[in-house]
Amino acid sequence: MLGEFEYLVLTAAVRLNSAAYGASIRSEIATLTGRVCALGALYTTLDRLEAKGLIETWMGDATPLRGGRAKRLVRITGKGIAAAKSFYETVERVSHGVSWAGNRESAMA
Amino acid sequence: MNQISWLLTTLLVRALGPDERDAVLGDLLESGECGPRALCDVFGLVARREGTRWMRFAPWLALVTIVIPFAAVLMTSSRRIADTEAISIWLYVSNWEWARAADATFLNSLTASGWGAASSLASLAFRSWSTGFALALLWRRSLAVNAFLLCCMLLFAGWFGGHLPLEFRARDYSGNAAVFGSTFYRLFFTPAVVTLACLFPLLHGIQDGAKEPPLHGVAVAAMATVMFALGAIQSWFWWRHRTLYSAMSWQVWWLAALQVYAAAPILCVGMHVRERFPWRRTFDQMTKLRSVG
Repeated sequence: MLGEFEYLVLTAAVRLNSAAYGASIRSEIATLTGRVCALGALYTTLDRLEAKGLIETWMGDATPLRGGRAKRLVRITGKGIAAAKSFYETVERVSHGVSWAGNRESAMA
Repeated sequence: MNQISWLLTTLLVRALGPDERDAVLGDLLESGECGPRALCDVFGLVARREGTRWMRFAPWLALVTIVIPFAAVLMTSSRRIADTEAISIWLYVSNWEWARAADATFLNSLTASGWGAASSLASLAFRSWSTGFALALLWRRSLAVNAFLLCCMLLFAGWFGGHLPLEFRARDYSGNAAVFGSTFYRLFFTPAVVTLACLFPLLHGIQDGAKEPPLHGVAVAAMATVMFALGAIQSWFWWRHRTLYSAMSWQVWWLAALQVYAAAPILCVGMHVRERFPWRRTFDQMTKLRSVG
C-alpha cells in the first residue's frame, strides 16, 4: 500500500508525463495541495518508489535554465499505475458513507 | 546572506552522489531558490540520506573501529606533542640571548630539539593523513558523517571534559607551570598544532582516499581483518614485555591500544598503494622471468 505522499508524487508524475522531474514535481504538488514540498522528502520518496519498481528515473540533458545541470527525469511504470489505482480505490471505498465524504458528494452535486 | 547560504548549499550538496548533486542544484536554480531555504532543503535531503545509511551496520562499524579509536589516538598524540614542544619552545625563547648563538653546545641542543619537533610533527601529520585516507577508502558510503564526527572529536573532545592519561599531561606537572601559565601556550598553541599537524592532513587524506576507486567488499573485509590482527599481535607482544610491572594500570592498556591503532591505517594505506604502484607489476614480471629462467 502506498503512503499519501507517495501517491501525490505518482499523481504529479502522471500529470506531468514527459516533463516529470524534481523541480516540476515539486511545483505540481505545491499547486495541487497548496503545501510546500520539501526537496528531501521528494528525493527520498523518489528513491523509495524506484526501489519498489513503481517509477523509473534517469538523468536527462542539461539546460541553461538550470545552470547547465541535468534533470532527474521520472516515469511511472505499469506497477506504479496499478499501485496508485489500488490506493485511490481503497481510499474511495473506506471513505464511503463517512461524513466528510458525504459532504463532498453533496457539495459536488 | 543569499550568497553565503548558496555557498554553504554547494558545499553541503557534495555529500550527495554526483548525479543527484547535479539534479538537486539544478532544481534549486530552476525554482529560484538560492537563499537559506535552499540550504534547509539540501540539509534535509542530506540528513534523510545519512539517516537511511545509518540504519545499516557498516557506518556503525566504521564509527567503532576507525572514528572513535583514531580520534582518541590523534587527539592524545597531538596534545602530547603540542605540550612537549611548547615546553621546548618556551625554554629556548625565554632563555634566548644572541651570545648563545656562538655556543656549539647550545646550537647542538637546539638542532636536536628542532629535528625532534619536526619528526614528531611529520609523524603526526602522516598518521592523520593515513587515518583520513583509510576512512575514505574503507567506508565511503558513510564518509560524510564519520569524517565530520572525527573532526569534531579531534577538535573539541579535549576541550569538553576529555582528560588525558597522566603520562600525557605535561601541563599538569608543577615543573612546567611557568610554561602553561602563559595564555599563548595554555590556550592557543595546542589548537594551532592540532589544526595544522592533525586536522589539515586528515582532511587531505580524506580527500585523497575519496578519489581512489572504491574497494571491493572482500578487500575491505581483508583490510579490516589485517588491521585487527595486527592490533591483536602487537598487544600480545607488548603485554608479555610489560606485564610484570604495569599490567594493573589502565593507562598502560590505553597506551598499548594507541600504538596498535596508530599503526593500522598506515598498513592499510601501504597495502592499497602497493597494489596500485607500477613497480609492483614490474616486480611481478621480474619474479616470473626469474622463475621461468
